[in-house]
Amino acid sequence: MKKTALTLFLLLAVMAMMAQKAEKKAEKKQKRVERRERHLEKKDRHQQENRFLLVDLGASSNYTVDTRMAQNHYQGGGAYASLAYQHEKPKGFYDIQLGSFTYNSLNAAHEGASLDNFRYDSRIAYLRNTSALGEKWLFRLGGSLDFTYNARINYNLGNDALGHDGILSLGLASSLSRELHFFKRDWQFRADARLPLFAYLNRMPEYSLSGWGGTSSTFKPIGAYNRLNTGFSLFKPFHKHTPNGFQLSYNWDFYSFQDSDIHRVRVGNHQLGLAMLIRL
Amino acid sequence: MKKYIIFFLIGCLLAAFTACERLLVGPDAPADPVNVFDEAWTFADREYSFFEFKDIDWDAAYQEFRPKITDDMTEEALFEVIADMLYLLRDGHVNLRSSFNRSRNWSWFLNSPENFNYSILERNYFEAKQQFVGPFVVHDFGDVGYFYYPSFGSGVSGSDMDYIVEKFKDHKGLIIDMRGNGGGSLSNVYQIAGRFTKEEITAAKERYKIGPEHEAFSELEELTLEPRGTFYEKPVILLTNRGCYSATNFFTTFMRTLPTVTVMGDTTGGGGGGPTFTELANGWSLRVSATQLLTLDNFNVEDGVPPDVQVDLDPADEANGIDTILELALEELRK
Repeated sequence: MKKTALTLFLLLAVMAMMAQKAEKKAEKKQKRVERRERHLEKKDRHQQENRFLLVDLGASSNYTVDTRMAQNHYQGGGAYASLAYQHEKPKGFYDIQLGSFTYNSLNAAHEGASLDNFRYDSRIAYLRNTSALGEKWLFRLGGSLDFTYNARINYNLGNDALGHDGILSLGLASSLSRELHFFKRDWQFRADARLPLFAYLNRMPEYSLSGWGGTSSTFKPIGAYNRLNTGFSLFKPFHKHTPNGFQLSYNWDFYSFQDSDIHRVRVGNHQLGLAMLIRL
Repeated sequence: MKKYIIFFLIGCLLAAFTACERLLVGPDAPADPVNVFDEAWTFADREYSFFEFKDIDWDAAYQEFRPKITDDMTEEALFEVIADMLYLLRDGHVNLRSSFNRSRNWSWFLNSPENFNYSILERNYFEAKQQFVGPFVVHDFGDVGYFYYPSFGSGVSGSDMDYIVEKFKDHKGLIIDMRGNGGGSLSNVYQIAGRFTKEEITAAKERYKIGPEHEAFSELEELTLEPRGTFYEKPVILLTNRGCYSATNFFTTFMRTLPTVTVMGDTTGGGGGGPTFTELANGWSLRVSATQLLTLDNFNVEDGVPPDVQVDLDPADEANGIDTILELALEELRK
């Protein structure tokens, strides 16, 4: 009797172990299938997404008025180089400018006065796709965090030779794009506009010297600090079967603010460039 | 056809942006004589830091000089009127600069004895044995060290000072001759003065303009002097005259607070205000003092720092090739 009971117990134990093993195997198989599905989904999503690195070079022209430094209006031109990253997703678009460096040599109308203008811009913008304009036009709307450092050096001004604006701003960003066929080629057209709503501004003090009074930082909402950044670009792939391409672009950036009743700053910067887009 | 219309419209928009920019910027500042005069007067009115200290009625200056401005006056004539008005500020840091002239008020120096003759030093004291260490003219009087620094505009390196401190460390003392040094960079002030203090000290106080009103100043801020490199322990005599201006005035203010330093010669020329600049609509640049420097006992050094020992270069000594001030300094250190 005891022997029979022991045999039965062992048999049941072996069966239970075998059942457990089979269950684990099935679970593993299920996980593998799920993993494969996830991978395929990711691959599919990736195929729908575009990631580009933009290397952009071009010419710039600039118009500057900073009455804290000079009553004169200065204008001139120069060149810029920029590096950016764009990530196009099914539902939205990341536009990240890693850095844009601009140099302009500016002149005033009187006495041959001149100044050197150095500028650095960077930006992180996210724009969400909308269906507001139907199928042909893609309208995106989102936000943008922009940083600009704009320095002017007027060698005639001794202790005050360096005038600068360091601007961190947060605002609205929009983009309008569509596919086009002209000159027997396929192009993609895009228009961008950014409007900062709030800005944190750092610059030389309104009175005295920057070396004595340090720099002055102020928070300025729209109205006290006005800026508009607009751009147009045309993208074309190098060949039909390659995602890499080039882009012709024009960008206009204008900002203005006032320190006091007599100190005002107005800066307009135009950029015309040719960029190479490398798909990542 | 539709897409070409779109591109035409975009082209129009680009042209509009460029035109808009001009509208947003506004018209260029008029460079006529009246506007240039007004800009110069207004800049000085808002930024200059010594109206109250010097008891200057700047509104009266406007009333006096503005009627002399006419639309058809020449650039030279306009320059002269503005320069004459700025002359009232009695400040070597106030200059109007154009491509053809630079206005200045040098009365702080020209109305006083020079108290310095480099030719005497070179012919009768150095006797061609001087050394040139960086910007310094260095001479060893055997038991007393000496260096002459003609301008704070010439950079001083740590190694220049290391050499001087090491060379004269076993001498009875050191003479620093700043006579005729019209100033330059403040960084050189700290580089030199830092060798004569063992510890960080408060050396002076200063304040700067923070608003358009004549008496709108920041709180007084303490200026500290930190030790730099090897400390020079022996007595130091600093020679000054009315030609010591701006950064040299700062240097003398700092050195006067140090226990091992004696200032000898004449009161410095002054120039206690750090200058701020602007450019007028016709391209001329204008600078005015925008800060005030005070000693620890609140003495405003705009008109100069008085010496501990007042001594002038005796004309009879000078005629005989003797530098009275240097002789007295050598005598003091050899005691």
